[in-house]
Amino acid sequence: MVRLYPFFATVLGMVCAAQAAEKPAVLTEADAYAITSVPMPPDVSLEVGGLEWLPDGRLAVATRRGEIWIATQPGADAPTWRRFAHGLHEVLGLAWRDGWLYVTQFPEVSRLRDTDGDGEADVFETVSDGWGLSGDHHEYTFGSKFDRDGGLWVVLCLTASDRSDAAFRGWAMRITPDGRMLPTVCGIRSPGGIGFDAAGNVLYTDNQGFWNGCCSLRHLVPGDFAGHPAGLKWYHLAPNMGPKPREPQNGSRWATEVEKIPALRPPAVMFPYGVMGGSAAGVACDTTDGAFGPFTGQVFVCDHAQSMLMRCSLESVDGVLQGACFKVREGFRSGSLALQFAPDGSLYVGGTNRGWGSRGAGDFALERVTWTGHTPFEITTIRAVPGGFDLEFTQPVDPTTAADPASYVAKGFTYILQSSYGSPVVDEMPCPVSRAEPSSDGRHVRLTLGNLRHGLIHEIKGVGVRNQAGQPLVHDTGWYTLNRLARSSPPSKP
Amino acid sequence: MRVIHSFSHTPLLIAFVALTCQSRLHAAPVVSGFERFGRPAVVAGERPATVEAGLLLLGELGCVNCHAAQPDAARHLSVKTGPSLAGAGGRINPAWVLDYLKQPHAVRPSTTMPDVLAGVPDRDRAATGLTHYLASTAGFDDGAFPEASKAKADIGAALYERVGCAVCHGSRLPNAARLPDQVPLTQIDRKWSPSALDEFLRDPFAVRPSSRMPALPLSDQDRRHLTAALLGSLPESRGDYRDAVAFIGHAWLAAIQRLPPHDSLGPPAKSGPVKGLDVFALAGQRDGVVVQLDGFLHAPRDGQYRFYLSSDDGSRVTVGDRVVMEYDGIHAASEREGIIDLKAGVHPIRIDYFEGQGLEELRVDVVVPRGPRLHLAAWVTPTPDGTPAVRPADAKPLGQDFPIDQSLVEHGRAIFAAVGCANCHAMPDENGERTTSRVVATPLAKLRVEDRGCLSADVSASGPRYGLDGEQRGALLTALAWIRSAEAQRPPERQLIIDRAFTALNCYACHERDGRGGVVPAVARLDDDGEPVRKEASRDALFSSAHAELGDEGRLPPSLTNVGDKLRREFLREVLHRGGQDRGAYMNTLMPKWHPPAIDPLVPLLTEDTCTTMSTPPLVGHSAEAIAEQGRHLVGSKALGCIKCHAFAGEKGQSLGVIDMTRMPHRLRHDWFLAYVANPQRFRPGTRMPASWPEGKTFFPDILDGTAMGQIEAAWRYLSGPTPKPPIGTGANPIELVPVGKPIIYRNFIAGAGLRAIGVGYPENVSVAWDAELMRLALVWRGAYIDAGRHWSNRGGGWQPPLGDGVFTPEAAAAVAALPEPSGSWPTNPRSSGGRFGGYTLDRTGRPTFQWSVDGMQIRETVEPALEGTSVWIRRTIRLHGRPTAGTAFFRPIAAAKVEDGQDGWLRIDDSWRLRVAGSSLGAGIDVTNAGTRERRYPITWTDADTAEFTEELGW
Repeated sequence: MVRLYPFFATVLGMVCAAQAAEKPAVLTEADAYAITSVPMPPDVSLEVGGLEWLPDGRLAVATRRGEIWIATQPGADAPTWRRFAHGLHEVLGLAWRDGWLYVTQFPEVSRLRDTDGDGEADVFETVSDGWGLSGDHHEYTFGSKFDRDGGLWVVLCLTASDRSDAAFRGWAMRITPDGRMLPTVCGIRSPGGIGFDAAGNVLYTDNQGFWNGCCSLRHLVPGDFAGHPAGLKWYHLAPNMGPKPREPQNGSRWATEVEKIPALRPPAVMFPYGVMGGSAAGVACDTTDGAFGPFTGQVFVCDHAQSMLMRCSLESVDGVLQGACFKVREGFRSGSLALQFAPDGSLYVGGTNRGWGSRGAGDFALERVTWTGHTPFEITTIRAVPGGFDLEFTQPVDPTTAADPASYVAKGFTYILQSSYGSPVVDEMPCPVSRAEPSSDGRHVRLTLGNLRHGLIHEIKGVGVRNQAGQPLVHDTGWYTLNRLARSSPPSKP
Repeated sequence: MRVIHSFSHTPLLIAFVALTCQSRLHAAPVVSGFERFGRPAVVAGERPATVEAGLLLLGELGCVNCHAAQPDAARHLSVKTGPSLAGAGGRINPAWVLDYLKQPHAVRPSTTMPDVLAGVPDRDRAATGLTHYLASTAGFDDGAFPEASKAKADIGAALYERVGCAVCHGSRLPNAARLPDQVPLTQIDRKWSPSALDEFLRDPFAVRPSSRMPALPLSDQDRRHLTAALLGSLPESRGDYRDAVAFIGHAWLAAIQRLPPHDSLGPPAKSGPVKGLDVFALAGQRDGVVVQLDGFLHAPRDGQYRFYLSSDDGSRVTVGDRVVMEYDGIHAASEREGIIDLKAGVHPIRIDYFEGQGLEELRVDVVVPRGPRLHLAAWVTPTPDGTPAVRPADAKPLGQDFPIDQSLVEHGRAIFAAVGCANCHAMPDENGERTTSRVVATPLAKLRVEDRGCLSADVSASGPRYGLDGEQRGALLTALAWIRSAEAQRPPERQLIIDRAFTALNCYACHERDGRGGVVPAVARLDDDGEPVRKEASRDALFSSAHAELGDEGRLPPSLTNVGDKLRREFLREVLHRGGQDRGAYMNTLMPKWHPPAIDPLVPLLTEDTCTTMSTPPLVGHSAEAIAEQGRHLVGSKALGCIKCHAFAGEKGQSLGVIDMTRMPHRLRHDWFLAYVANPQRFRPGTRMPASWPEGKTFFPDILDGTAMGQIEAAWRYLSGPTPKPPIGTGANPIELVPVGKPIIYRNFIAGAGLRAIGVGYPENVSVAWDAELMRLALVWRGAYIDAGRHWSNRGGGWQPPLGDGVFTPEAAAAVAALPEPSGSWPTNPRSSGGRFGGYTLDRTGRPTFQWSVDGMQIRETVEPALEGTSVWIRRTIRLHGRPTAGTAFFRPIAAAKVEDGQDGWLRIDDSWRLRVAGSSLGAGIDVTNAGTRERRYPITWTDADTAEFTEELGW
């Protein structure tokens, strides 16, 4: 990390401010996004498993040790903390509605309320506990916020991350507003977080391992199958799901199996393993309307193993969600697990690395990411178009470099869909860029590529692209998971 | 039949012997006890000690195998035979056997086997015949056994130094000096087949019933590492190959999916020498690399070569024009095996390899015949005339084939019986019977005590030649004279028998007993300050510990002075048969396993060490339960903190892992435990074990009878229980939850309370666990609440039992149900009839009310502590709302094997806890007996508002 002396910082700040007015000059991700530590309650192991805002502006923080702490003015220098509840079992989801704090804990979804006004919950009502447990510590339960129908979604990790020793392990379930539990999607392996995109689609992260060659962001659509076959044994308990899908063929590819198994939904975004993290976790959609920078509407995902923040641009092609992932910011202090945008447009990141190693070495952390106001030169989105991709940039590009096909390097690759743990990179092939056509406003470049293949991750590097100030991209690479080839040209308007 | 008779010696020969004796000194047989204790005594001229030294040699050199001892004398002599030679051909390399028989003292200078061929007319033919005879018993397997591929010689070499091999055989570290009593391991790598050595290390007594070498209780894997180290004969610098140039390499920078045809890539981007297999240094990058390596494999001997290849991505190994193994394509690293037969000599070898992107690896190991598994580069040089890191000479090539000549076999068979081999060595004849020797020697008692026969200094003597030196001969002569004395007719005393056994078996190499052995110098001497030297530094250095802070106690094997006073007879036998593991967490030297027939006679003798007797404190007026609870409390971290050093039931936790407390009643005599714990220094001066009751005073006058001995006895009784509950402070990361002011709720996997357990610890020192899966009060206990350390550390897996005492299970199933008839079967799980758990509320004091429903009834249970004086128990108030949709509602507070009516309405349950119920909503109780279980059921009566309420109290 570069630390600036105040004098230089001031000078640099003035220079930056001057440039920001015309040609924003941001060269590193830290210039665009600042991380600050939120002061935590003393002597508390704040192993953050869930975050939620209360209507009065306070922040509820759930911990893996089963406590709920509430911070007043968490963005201030000295927030005040108050313990709202304790004695819960590894809380990995918080949501507020109608005076109740909904808590997803290991064995159940509960709702908590303080009825006597002493600041501590005194009602712990069980909302739903219709899934099974086997006593294995891996059977994590992650819970969502409320969906547009007022329901909650939970994703249930497999037993030991590869078996399903109790009912509905390896499933996503919906909890309806009246407390009914609906089996919704089978085939989950080891989730790390769950959230929504701007359109209200339900997304969860699943992790590299058995039947998962890499970590991924998955779209949950009722009735679907997410690929890990261990949970299929519970279809008889889920008549609403229709006939049981067949198991994927071991050693095959996503593109192949999706053709054969109608219910099988491919990952919307695959995160190249080791490059884009190693343990995808929390999911949060940027609904800040610009307060968090130029990525409004995109889905942010944190990575536990690499203690970093990524983002995804998504689109629907033939009814299948797909899109690209990009790096945003590294350097969080613990294993990033929970993400929550704040009313003020900042992003809160909660971490723990107990039992699961992370690059950030802290036992636990609560941090806040704020946009500095400096727009980083980045690829905003990648969209599939016939014969290639449309790249949108955060700033107008330099027409010369942007129009030069040699400014781009692209290739396709994927992972094996297999029962064993993880996968090597396979089917790798360069995608020669034959044409690069910037739009008249300089915000888009349309690339024409060779060797486009559906079912593959397409890595697109804008190594030579410059903005009009002659600066390179802060992160020059996006990875687009091309589940479906685009058939017709999408609207060219950004 | 042939009788050994001595030759008269001539002055010329005496002079010759005198000359050669100097060189012989180093070739004299090594009998550890003689070298350590006997030789110094002989040199010092201590006559009784010399007798002992001579008696030791008479046994250890096998003299009595030829010269029969009369029964009286035999009581003073150890019995040691030679190894069984049945099937020896499969174990011992014939090439080594031939060398050894031709020149036993040259090949193995320390050997106790005499040279019996010296006087045989055609010695070479005799040796060759014996070799063919032995080789004919089984084919020699020169190859490494399959599991050997996982053996690592460097790990084995470290084990050798650590576990005790080096104590008896000498350190193999560079510059280490061998102590005179250490038996050197000469040429064992030439002698043994790998599988036979491994098996011998596992069970030495199978082929050597009187082996002085015991078996170490090593894991199979560790033993294989050790075998690899012993057979490897590797230079200590064997790691050097990693830095030595082994190949000439060519690298191309290209992203490919499969290994290319050799000529398709054009000129390489980089070329040059490659150290080890570090292809990335040559390529200058780690992705998009294609490499071809060429070198020359120096095969040390003919035979099967096993290659182990691990690569990410594709690779191929080619020797000469043969592809040994190919592992092509993009893949993660995993190991493949390839086998090829090679002749000794130099063979071109080529490695092809490519790496796409991401992780990368290229590793090739090879197991040469009879060799250890090593990095391929150890055997490879870039040019045919180079010298590899492990030179073929180091591998000591052996004749691969040993064609058996049947006429030589027959000759050897005759020699075997004729020259006395069969006196010491068991060998089956054609009929499977032990071969009878044709040598009959003069009985021990009738031997003339003079320098003749075996004791002759005459090199031309035809009798067995031991290569004895003057001191050994002198000791033997003294012993032979003593054997005829009146003293020899008396049986030896107990302590002398023990001492002789410890000397012969070399227990003294590790252990001290009564001031002899261990690291104590054999000859008393003073240091520069005039203090007696207590430790021989060179011996002391052979013992190490994983926990240096434990000092000598954690490092030196324990003193065996009065060991029979300390250890239970049964445990003594156990530890001698099975070896010892109790100090395994820190003491590196392992207590080995001994041959039961040889060692068992010692057990009753050692048991007679018993000298400590204590009267057992009666602890009148305290229940067995209370005594165990207090014993548990005393050893825990809130009282004496024994748990801070000692392991408990296999759990080392945060402790030093010192001897497991739960093993103590199994190991120790009760009397000794009481006396030792009361005053450890009396038994082990300088021990780190504290005197927790200094001068017999207790720090806890309120516990039990308030006496030191009573409290020590309580600890003993607690530990003697069938499965003593771990004391407070057990575990790697104890996080005790201590309720202060308000209860603490703890939801997790609580042992005995189901998958959805909710623990409640009350500040009143009483706790419950509610089972939200089965809607039952699953556990009640008193004392400490719970340790969250298991679940709040690492991934938090596993079940955690209550931390306190008096744990009981009030209900195996929910206590409220609707039944079609009063004696109908009780439902096991309300969920199967639509029952649901509704959560809980906390009142102002933080006490929970659990809510659940079944059969149309809403049930609320408030669980709270009740107090009277120092007594505490649980009061549970159950309120129901809504009548059952069908049948009659019942409350079943108890289903147990033993239910007895007591005073004031209390029911005594299973002799361990009690309960009573009250409330106008309960009708008359009905007893239902079901398969040995007694149940009491109360019909629930309802008010007009369809509500009912009653209470249940549960306690001790």
